[in-house]
Amino acid sequence: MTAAPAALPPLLALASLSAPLPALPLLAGSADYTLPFVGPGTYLIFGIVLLPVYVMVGAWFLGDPSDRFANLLGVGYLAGLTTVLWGSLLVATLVIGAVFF
Amino acid sequence: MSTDDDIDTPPDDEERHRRLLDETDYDTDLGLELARDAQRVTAGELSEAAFYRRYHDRIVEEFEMDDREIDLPDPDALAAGEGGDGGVGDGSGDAGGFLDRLGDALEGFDPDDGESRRSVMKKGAAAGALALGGLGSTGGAGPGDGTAAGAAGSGEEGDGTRWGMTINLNNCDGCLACMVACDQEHNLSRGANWMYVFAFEDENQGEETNFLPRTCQHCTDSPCTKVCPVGARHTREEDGLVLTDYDICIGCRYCEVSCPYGVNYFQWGEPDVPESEIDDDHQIDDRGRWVGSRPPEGVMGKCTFCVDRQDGQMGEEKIGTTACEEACTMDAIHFGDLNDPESPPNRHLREYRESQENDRSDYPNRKEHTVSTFQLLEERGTDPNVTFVGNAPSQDARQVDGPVTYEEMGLTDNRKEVLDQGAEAAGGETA
Amino acid sequence: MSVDVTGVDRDTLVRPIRTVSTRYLAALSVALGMIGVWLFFYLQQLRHGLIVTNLADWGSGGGVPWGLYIGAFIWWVGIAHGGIILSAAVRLLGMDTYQPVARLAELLTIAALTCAGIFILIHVGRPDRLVTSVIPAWPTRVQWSPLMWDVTVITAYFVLTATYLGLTIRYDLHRLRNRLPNRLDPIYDVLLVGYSETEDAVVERMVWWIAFAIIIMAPLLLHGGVIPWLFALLPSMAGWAGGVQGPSFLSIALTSAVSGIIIVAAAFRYAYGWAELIPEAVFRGLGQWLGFFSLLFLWLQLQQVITGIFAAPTTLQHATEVKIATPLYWVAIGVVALAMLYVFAASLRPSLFSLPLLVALSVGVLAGTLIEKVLFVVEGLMHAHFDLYAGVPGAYTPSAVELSALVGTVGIVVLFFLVVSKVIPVVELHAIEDHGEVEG
Repeated sequence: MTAAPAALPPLLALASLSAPLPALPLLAGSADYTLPFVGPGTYLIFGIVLLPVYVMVGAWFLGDPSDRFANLLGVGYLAGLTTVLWGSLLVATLVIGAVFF
Repeated sequence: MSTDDDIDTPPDDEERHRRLLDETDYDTDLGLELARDAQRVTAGELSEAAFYRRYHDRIVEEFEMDDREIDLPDPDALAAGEGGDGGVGDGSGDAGGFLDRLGDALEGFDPDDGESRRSVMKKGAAAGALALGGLGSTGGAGPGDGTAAGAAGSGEEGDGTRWGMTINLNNCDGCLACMVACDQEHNLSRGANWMYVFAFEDENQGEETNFLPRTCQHCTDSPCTKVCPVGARHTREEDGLVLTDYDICIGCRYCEVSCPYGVNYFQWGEPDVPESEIDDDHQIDDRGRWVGSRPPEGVMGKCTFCVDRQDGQMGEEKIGTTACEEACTMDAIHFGDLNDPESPPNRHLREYRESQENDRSDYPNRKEHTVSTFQLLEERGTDPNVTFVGNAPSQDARQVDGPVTYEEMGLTDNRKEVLDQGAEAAGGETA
Repeated sequence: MSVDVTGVDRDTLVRPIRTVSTRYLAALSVALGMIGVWLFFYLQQLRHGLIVTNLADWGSGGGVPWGLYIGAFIWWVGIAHGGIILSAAVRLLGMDTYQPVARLAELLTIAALTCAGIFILIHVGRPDRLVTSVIPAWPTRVQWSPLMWDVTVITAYFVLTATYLGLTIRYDLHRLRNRLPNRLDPIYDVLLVGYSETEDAVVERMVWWIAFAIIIMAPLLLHGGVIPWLFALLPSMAGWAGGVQGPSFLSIALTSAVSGIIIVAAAFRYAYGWAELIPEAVFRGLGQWLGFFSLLFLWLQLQQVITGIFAAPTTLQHATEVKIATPLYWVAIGVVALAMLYVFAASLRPSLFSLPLLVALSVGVLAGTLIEKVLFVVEGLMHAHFDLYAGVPGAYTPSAVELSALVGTVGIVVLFFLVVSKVIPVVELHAIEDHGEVEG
């Protein structure tokens, strides 16, 4: 609190720079229009929802008994099925796009 | 800031008004007198009825228009729109004639144009604007109205441009001219009312019918941009416009269900106006993205604050204007850069407040003015860039038929009916 | 209440693969017919746009932009939960009673998630952009958009379940290979790539961890998470917002999921004479789960109704009043309550139990949960806080195009089971043989 009076003069000086500003509050303001990259989804999806998947894959490789081939097969399934799922959807949408749009 | 000295002092003001009015073919003195007396009206020194009677004959003489005043429902609107609504405020005239006139007014603004009925309207509107002491770009593209300066960004306050509106509900008479102008400018399909004017009654606000023109609120913290899964709905960094990229949108309609205001209109079927009839200038913005004019089929559309105009693609003089603002002869819609204190929305708000001063000599605790303003659903935290002057509709407000019906203006209110017809036409397989 | 079905031989297990009956062909025709009906209507939609649905804009437009498509999407995702609940119950909690239906449940998950995906595809205005717009936007939009969270979690759930299936099927295929048709060898070769019996213990451990991952992710974060969050996070609609939606959605999902498993398991039991393989005890147990989940469903509905009418904000109060004045809502509540009462009664007096009746009630529960979901979506949209519009609430009845999609997706699930059951054993070998026996 004691610092406040000392801070006032610079503030007033700043205010005087904007002398033409109307006395009444108008509609001005400054805003960042684009959403920041990090949002609620960042921690929700990567921090919470996918956590069991990290644990699962970690346990595959770190636990016992473990087998390199089976582990890689599991990872291959995860990656491959994701690719197949979206790849086949891509084909379907491209066909729809070519015929109807 | 532009080279214009925008610091208003009353004599300067009058001088500028005189200069502007001199450029018209109309009676400068009449305009100035109207302006002065309008201020007396707002100060309570002159009754609205007296103000109306005093100038009625001279306005008729000057603008050759006398066919509408008896239809004006309430004295408020009468006084406020005296000069301006001669052209557009007339809801009782035949719709076709009105549409023709409005259509003329919307066909771009040719500076070399001689005197046409359309420019009569514009001058009338300018006089109307003056009458409220709110000289600005309202009423459309008057020479030297200085809005381009706002578009260029004042840099003094806020960062860059933030387009927004002040809509003065006290001035709106529900003529729906803004809706028609928007519909035509953006080639909207029937019932896609990007601009939508409510006529409503509110038991908390007396018997009279109130009006509320609803655009997209172009929220700074817009739910629709947050929920969009593909980033098609986005806020343009350069000026805060909330736009839809028609090339990216997948048409999931999540923006529409997340919007608290109901401003989104999906393109359920083939648009009424084919793309071949729309210039790229209307559609592609200055970043090269397809965000303007009506959306193609399967994609979401809504009010863009006339992004094509703001990017200068409709001409320099259209920057800082919107179709609805230009069509409004009631001085209700004020569009501009909210970061510029001298932009029409800021200036209108300031001048309107100044014209409605409270009596603080006797009641020092009163606030400076009697003007109430609000934003729609302010408590939702969306931070809209549209501010309304007037009283917010309460929970008990209900929409009623206005003095001018949507049908009379060639508009469609309930889009569901159009869609149902379209569904039948598409094959009749609806249940 | 463990049930011993180890007396059943391997031939019984592969019976569906080795027989083709006329009834099978009839079922196949019906399924294809259902899909055909939908495709006929869907072609109309592709040709003319979503205007052929009865959807419209809320606001001045006088309609609702989300309807049966979204309701059915949620419904299918809910049914998909059956798979992991059963598999996890068997694998993580040792509830061996349900082993005979575990794989059927997993398959139901795959089929139901596929149908959910189809509803997204047909819901959007530009299905052609579903991949080209979504994938490039994923890295940035998943940070914000609840719809992108859905896409992510549903993909993860699908992939985890399919991986689970892909890993567990190897054990069975290897041991039943000599009973499987030679013409499908290429498929088996791919599924069995690199298989050796030494991997069994490793895979067993891996699939335990998959079950662990999905038992947390699917119920708590999919249907108790990202799906309800699509609505719960939007304060603009009175009936949608609020934290009760997570538990409420989950209760509905579990109720419909168990119903789905009961129906599928009963169908296979009937079609292939599997009374021995899938004994009545399995259905009694499933029925009790159905009763328990129905109770939760009804309890959470009660929570919403009472908070909505006692002293709620005006729009929520109005939305709730409209909901409880809607006869269809009470149909939904009624069928679920009926199933619950019957199941509890049959628990007290076992002689009351009848499998056909349980199946009929399960069908009723599926209909009821679908009705509840569609009403939730549609009525939620009809009671926006901003209710100045005369056109709000709008009107909505699903069009023939929309209803046909429901028929088509049911057809897809039927077709899926008909085809898959001809390729892989739909009951695990573990159900009839202890691990030790098989190893030997």
